[in-house]
Amino acid sequence: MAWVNAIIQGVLTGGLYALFACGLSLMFGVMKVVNLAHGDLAVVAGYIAIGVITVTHVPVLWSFLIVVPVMALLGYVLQRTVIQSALDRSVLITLLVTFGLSVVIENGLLQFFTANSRAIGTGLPLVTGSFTLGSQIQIGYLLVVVFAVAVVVLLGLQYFLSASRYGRLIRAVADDREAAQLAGADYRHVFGIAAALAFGTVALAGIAYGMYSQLQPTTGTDTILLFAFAAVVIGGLGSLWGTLLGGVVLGVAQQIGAQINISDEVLAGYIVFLAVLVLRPQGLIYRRTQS
Amino acid sequence: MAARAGGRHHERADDAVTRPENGARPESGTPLLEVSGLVVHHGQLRALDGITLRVFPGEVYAIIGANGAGKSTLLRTIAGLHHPTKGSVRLDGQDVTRLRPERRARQGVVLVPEGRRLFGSLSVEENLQVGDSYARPGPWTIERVYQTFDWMRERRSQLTAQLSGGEQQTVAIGRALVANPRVLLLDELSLGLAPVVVQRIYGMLPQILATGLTVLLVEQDVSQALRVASHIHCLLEGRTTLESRPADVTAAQVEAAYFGLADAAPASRPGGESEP
Amino acid sequence: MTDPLLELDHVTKRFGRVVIAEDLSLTVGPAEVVGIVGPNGAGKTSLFGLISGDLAPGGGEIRFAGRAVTRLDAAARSRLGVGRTYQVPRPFGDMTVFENLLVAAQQGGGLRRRASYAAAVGALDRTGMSGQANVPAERLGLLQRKRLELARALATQPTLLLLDEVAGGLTDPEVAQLVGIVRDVNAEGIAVIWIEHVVRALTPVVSRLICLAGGRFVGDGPPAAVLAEPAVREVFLGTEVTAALAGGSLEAPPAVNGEGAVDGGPGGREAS
Repeated sequence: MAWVNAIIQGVLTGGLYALFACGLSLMFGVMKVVNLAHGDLAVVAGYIAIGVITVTHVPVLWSFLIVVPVMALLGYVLQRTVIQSALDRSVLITLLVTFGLSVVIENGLLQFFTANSRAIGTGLPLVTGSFTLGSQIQIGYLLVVVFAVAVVVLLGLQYFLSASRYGRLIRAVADDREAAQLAGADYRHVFGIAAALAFGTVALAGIAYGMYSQLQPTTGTDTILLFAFAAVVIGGLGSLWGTLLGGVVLGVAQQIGAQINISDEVLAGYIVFLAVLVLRPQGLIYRRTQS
Repeated sequence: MAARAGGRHHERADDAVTRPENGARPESGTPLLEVSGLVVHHGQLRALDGITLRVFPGEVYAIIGANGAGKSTLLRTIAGLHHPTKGSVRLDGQDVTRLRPERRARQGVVLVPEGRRLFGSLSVEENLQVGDSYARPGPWTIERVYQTFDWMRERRSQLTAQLSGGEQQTVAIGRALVANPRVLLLDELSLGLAPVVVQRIYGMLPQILATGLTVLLVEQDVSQALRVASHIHCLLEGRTTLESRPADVTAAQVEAAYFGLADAAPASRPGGESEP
Repeated sequence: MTDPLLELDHVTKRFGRVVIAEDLSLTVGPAEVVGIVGPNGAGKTSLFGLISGDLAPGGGEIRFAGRAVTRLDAAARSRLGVGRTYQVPRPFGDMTVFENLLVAAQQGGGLRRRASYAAAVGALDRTGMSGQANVPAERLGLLQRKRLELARALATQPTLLLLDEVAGGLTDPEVAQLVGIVRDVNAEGIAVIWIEHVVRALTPVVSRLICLAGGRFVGDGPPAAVLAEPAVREVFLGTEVTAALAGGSLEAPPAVNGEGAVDGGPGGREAS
């Protein structure tokens, strides 16, 4: 029974991982940018939420409404300025720039918030409570809600990409940037929108993580970035639902590993990651039509 | 296309077309597209060495020449994808030389690039919709494209990678048309297509011109260019070797201009520029 | 009749649906200078790839100096004497001209120290680059880079030299200089096959011109004769102009396929 519990935990955690991962996947799929600061942005969002709540005393759930749009806007601006000028130079420079961004963010957070962990306390029964299935399976409400939110966000993203004008433009620019220019699209603006989406979703994920677990300045690279990366690679580059699949696989692997030996939780996840890289490097869901 | 007496070559639609016939190029009046003294480098290589040309409304202006002559470079520079080292590009009198390609497209200079370059993960209709995203007002809509190419309507949800080369080329042209360009730039339509298919596609030109567009095209096949053009311009190693109406030039002059083996005939545009 | 230096025997190569070489057979003698022309995408550079070993054929045999080389890789063929330039010169930027040539002589020519120095110096002399021997390659201008590319190929001690579009972008005097170098190289007994768009660079120096179109040889013979062949003219100039050159005129081109044939849809064989 403990195994069933573990698997369910793992699946639900996969939702959180998918939320982390979809922004990373989007930025890579559209502009070929591996944003090494991706995880740190989640942490930043969490810290901003903490700050907003502390200062304004708004209900916790309102922090989403404030922080997510702010982060999205930050994403657009950062993309149009720093990241675009790095892209204009070379892919390698872009990697270095995002790495530098990551270092700056982490040290900035250390400076302002110290290395102590913070959490976003809510006291809401939603967050701390759980329900039981049968007699032995216990599932926290928060994780279920996060999973549901992840599915909703992915559905929303998919709808946006497939049915809206800007979603089409994002896909077109990802396929062939020059041809999109010839059709009148300013690809820098389109990149900005993709970045805004990426930053917005990762902010959402970061605040959720702050409620679920604890935030430290280094959590971004220690935990979030690597998990997001693993989820994207396992699921398959360029596939949104792949990130959910990848997240779930990662989560389940981790929980099974924890069952075997509590300290092997994270290791188990990375073993699966490695296995996918060796056996099927293109990921579980591989879209061949991506140019 | 030089009109011949008695030919079925007056490729007009039913409506009267204000297309200059038999070289009735206005001596005054603003050309719709004007390129002056264009010098373009690829790194250190000089791809174009002082190109000047004028395209007037309603014309089919064809650029011919051997590979490496600079034809595609010229078209891409006009579209804004390359920056010239020297020289200018003017659209209807306005200097667009510094405009980014997407701005130029929105102003009405739309390129159908070599190799089609459709969006592979998008369907036929989505490709057209992207072309429509920043369209100018005008007669061309997605609906009109479906009316013009009736096979497209049934296949509109298909991914473009599943279409044949000729079908892809038509979709690429449709994608450019829905933007309602003033000047339609066609880069090597015939590449990789069977002659029958090429003929069919060029056969659409009259319909396109009938809606008030002007066409500037690059064509590898010299004879094909001569069939459809109202004016031809031959490039060799980045320089102009011939510029004329098809009616005013002999096959031998075309060959000489193409290979550069003998002295080509000087440009035969009345009152126009002599060779740079 | 001397033994041929290079033989292609029914060589075929495809990339997916695209046919690059279709049952090609070719013989080149030890001191010939052969020019190759043809439209882009016709497979000219790929032909060089098949000869130099950068590409493996799908079918057929390739023999060099009587020896079957079909299964040898590019490095091995280079040591046997197949030297090749590449369309886009990519020298080792941080190394000097001389050092670049040393690498070529040692790796491509298989020469040891003193012999490799001699080979490098020889290549410098033939291409007139002795004055730039100590210049870092990245500082060279376009013409010099092309010369370096040629020198690099010469430093590998070839008996067959493959030149890939070396005349592009050069002015008339520069083209004349290049032609002079090729003549001198050939006079030393090195066979040359030269792909070129700039046809007028070829005509003074090649004894034989081949037209490659759609993966097939369309013409093969003395340059003037080949360029006058209808099949070859048709490749470049199309049907009407070819017909007109043969004695018609450019009047009354045939009607395009009627009004209203606008579907551009399925039908017709895809050109390879």
